[in-house]
Amino acid sequence: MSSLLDTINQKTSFDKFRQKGVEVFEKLGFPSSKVEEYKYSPLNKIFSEAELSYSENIIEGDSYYDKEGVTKCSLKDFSEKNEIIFNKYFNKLAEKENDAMVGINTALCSNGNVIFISKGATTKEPITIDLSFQNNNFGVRELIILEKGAIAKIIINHNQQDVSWARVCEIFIGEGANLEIVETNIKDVSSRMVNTIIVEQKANSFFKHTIAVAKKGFCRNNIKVNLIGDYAECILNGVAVTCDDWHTDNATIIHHIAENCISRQLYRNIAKDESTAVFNGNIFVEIGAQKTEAYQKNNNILLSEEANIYTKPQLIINADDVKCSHGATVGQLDEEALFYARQRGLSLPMAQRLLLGSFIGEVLDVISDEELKESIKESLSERL
Amino acid sequence: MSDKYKNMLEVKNLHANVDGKEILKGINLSIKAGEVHAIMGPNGSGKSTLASVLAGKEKFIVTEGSVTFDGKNLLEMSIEDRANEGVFLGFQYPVEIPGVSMANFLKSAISEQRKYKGLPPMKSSDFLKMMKKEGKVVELDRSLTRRSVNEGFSGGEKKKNEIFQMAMLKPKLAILDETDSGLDIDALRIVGNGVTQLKTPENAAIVITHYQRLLDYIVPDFIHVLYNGRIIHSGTKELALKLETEGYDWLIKDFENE
Repeated sequence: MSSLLDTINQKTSFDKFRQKGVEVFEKLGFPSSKVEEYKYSPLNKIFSEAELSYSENIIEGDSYYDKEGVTKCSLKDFSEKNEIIFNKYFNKLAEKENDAMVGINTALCSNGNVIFISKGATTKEPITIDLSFQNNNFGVRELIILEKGAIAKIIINHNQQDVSWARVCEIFIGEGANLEIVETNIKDVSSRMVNTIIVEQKANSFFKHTIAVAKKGFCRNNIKVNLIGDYAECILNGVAVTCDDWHTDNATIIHHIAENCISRQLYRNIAKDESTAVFNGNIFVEIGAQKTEAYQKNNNILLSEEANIYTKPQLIINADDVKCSHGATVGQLDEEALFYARQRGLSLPMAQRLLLGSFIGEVLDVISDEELKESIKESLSERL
Repeated sequence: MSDKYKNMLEVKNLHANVDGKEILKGINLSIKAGEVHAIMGPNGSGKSTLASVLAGKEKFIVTEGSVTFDGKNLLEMSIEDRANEGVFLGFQYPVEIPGVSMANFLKSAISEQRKYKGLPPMKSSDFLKMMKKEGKVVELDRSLTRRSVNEGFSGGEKKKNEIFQMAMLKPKLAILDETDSGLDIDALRIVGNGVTQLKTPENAAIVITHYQRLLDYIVPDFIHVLYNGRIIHSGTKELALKLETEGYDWLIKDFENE
């Protein structure tokens, strides 16, 4: 591990954070199934230390600076050109995480995208990030910052072939700001990945995150949201279709810290063949987070005898004036609905496709861009 | 013999089980084109089971008897083939399918039906025209066709939507399973008049109901009383009034004394 650090070009603004990352990782190591959070997705079976590497060459696409308040560039460039803002935000959320993958990512932090929307600015068109690369890379590091009152839509497309990798994306949503992210991981590629987003929401802000996964290999998404300002709201939706021996795990941790905040989670999985789909959902309502509304729903459909579904909803509530609910279901397609569709003349396979489409369609309905929504639905339907 | 005198549906000595329990114990029923038959009877007599068995619901096992529809063996057909042959079941509890618009659902259904009959696909403009026309039959709010199938529909809207689908699919035999339950008087009138408007000399309907009031709007040619898995009495429309005032006990007593 330490020897790996020696190979890193120690001339960047991230260097001062690396040592701390190493310490976290060396203390924890790749989590095994004994670590509650990774019980159904043990990373020590997926990765080995031998794979640990990084690569600086991951940025593709255009860069621009302060185009009507919108900046999109590489983390490296941002740290040099916007040093004050970089120092204000970078690693501020990651450093609080006691998580091996955040540790290793901080240690090997190489490069990634930055999107910075300054006070009151708006993205006219959604900003698209295509994360495609061919090398193992545990240091993909990104930063999304919305200052007070900013509005942005971001689309993140994963497309990594035959690699092992880890990403950490820190997201700061300022007072009254509004951010929608749609993350797709539906290309016909295979990879082993841990994707972590850590979000901080200030007062009256709004965050909507929708993730669609249908990919070969192993995929763990850690979605962590901290509601630190009053009246902040987040909607977190996710859908996964798993086939063959694929393994997809969506894990959420919502911290209700301030009062009057709302979180709504809806995660759905369809598992085929011998695949595995996992949902780990955590809601923590901290002392003093009164008038919290926290809702979590996870529904799963098993399409084969050999497929596996694991679901682990957890609520820890330390305030007394809150509305919280959680529910998890695992089942097959609704017989009565199949009968209904077939009674109207649809063949059994058609009726099944229709109902599965409906099952995932409800999750994707929150996506504001109709065209994008339909294209994701179509890609997922092809897997069914 | 012309088609007019042939039976469209011929049910003979039909027995059916669910979970090993016999529910239908020998049903005989003949229906000709142009006729409306009402099936009444106390709770648990097997009315809905009969509807489900005719539509092909898989949890019911037919143990004896035969069902012929337009000369074909209905019991050998899949659920969807029965539908495409022209059997329509109006559900007592229509199912919600979120995320699938009513319009798309019906478009798929019609396209399957046409494929089955060897007809070319319907033109989009014709489909839209038909939706508009048939929507009026049941005074269906046009926005409902853009919404997801039955999702968030009120009880009355769901039942109207069943009749709307029937109008779109133009079945030969419509089986309406307690389409009147839970309706207010306006919805009852709309549903009843809708069914009456859709009646032609070529099609037929089985109306399953608890109450005489639906039969104020849909005038049946025959009324059958189902009790304990058998039809114990058949009569004309006047029977409904007698059942409404006197209940079923007199029939049941007669039946059990036999």
